[in-house]
Amino acid sequence: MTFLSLILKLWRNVNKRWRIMWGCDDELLNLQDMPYDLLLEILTRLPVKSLFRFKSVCKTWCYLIQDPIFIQRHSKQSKKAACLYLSVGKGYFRHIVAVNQQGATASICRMRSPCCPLQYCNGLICYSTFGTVSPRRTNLHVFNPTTGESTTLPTNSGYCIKFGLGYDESINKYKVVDVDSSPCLIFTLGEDSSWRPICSKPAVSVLPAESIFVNGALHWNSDGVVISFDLKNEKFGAITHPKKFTSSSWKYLLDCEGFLCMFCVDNNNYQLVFSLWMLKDYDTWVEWSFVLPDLPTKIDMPEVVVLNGEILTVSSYYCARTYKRLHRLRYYLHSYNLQSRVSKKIEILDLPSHLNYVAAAYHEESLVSLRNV
Amino acid sequence: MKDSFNPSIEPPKKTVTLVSSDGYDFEVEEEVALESQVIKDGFEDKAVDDREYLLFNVHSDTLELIIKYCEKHVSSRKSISAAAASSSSSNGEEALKEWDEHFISVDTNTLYDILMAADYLNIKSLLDLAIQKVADTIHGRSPEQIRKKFNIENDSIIDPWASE
Repeated sequence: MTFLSLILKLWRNVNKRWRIMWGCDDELLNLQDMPYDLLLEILTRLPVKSLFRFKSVCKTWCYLIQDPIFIQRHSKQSKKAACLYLSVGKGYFRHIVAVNQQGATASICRMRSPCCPLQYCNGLICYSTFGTVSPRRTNLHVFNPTTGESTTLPTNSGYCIKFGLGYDESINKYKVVDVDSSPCLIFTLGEDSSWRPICSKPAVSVLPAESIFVNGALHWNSDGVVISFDLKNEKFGAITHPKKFTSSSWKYLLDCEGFLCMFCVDNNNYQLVFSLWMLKDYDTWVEWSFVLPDLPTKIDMPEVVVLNGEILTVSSYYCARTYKRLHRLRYYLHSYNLQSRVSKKIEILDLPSHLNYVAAAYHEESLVSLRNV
Repeated sequence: MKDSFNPSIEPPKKTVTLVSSDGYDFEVEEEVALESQVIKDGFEDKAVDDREYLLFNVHSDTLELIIKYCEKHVSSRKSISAAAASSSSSNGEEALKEWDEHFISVDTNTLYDILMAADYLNIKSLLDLAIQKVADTIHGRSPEQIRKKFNIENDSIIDPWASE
């Protein structure tokens, strides 16, 4: 008997080695043995496309993938794999393209209707379209380009030109803030049925259209001060600009891996000098300055994104080499590594050539469902 | 001769004995064993002369691999910090990443064993590596292949043709 079992064991071993040698490892992993949190951890590493497919594996997986807590964990994981978002467009028609650090592009979506400023937050896009009933009325929409789902918010009394999209981690909900009307209005996705007025008032009466969501708060850049809006407490605040601040020709706010940053562009003897001011612990600004040597001086508004310690910007200029297609635009991706101080320039191919509007933001895949909100 | 007076000479290395589920003893350096959070936590509670850990859930084949991984990580961390101290440029981290990649390229069953052992011993970097590897191997599969691979019964409520 023991002899038989020995032979059986030997056969199994040989069989295993044989399978490994020929690369056919179709052995079964038993899910019953796998701890639940390990399975969860594995699923959070998967791209949204795969997860959508895996909803049909079994009931447990289907419920798991739609679970808000799972979605929250997945979004934290996918932050690491973010790439650059480009919204290119002619007039108000936008085409959103994702570009990775190597300059490879992937089309994400094409907006069907003309839309005004796009606001980004954790892979979701908020935009306004001109209403069909009255030309002065605008509608606000929230759109998830990864899943293709979108939702239209109820209209309010304002024009909805200046707004911001943010995320409240404490309740795991997205909120849209309208700062155009007075008092300012707020709408929580999936909770509110109409806009609520905000008790708190910003220190500056007129805010710019661009807002940025960093660290649980929305931020607007104003004269000498950054206006913040905490999405949890629903209160406005103000952060003064750094004291040693030159009157730069152009400056705006950006998200630098979870830190609020002020990005300034100065034109110094026909060379663009950039400086980046990072807000540490919400009270001190730290400065970085650098020059991107290959950047053409003609560009007026470089949109900048910070990804994995690299500053990325996109420039576009006309290339009049072939006179048949005079207005061919070329796009270049410039990167500057903050650690090694090395700058690179890569041409972005496969972009629609006739488009003339470039805006950059983070792109990350999001599983957030907008169907039932 | 000079060396014997050098005070920076390292003291004799302390060792820890790890016993696998099938009863094999593995003698490893203390530093290597401390890569595991579970052993590290248990370390303070133990008496000094009792340095034996019974790992009931880890087979000797897997334990051998895990010790190999921990030894490599401890030694390369030392060499990276030494390179940083002497400010010489080295691609130690790149090499380690490559080594990790090679280390985790194993068949499904071994990968599963490593995953479970890393979870049991709570070795964060190895757990991370193994989870990422599993995710990489399954992300392009069809639901049918996943069901087969994970031994899951099909009770889906979603029509597979509708989702494609």
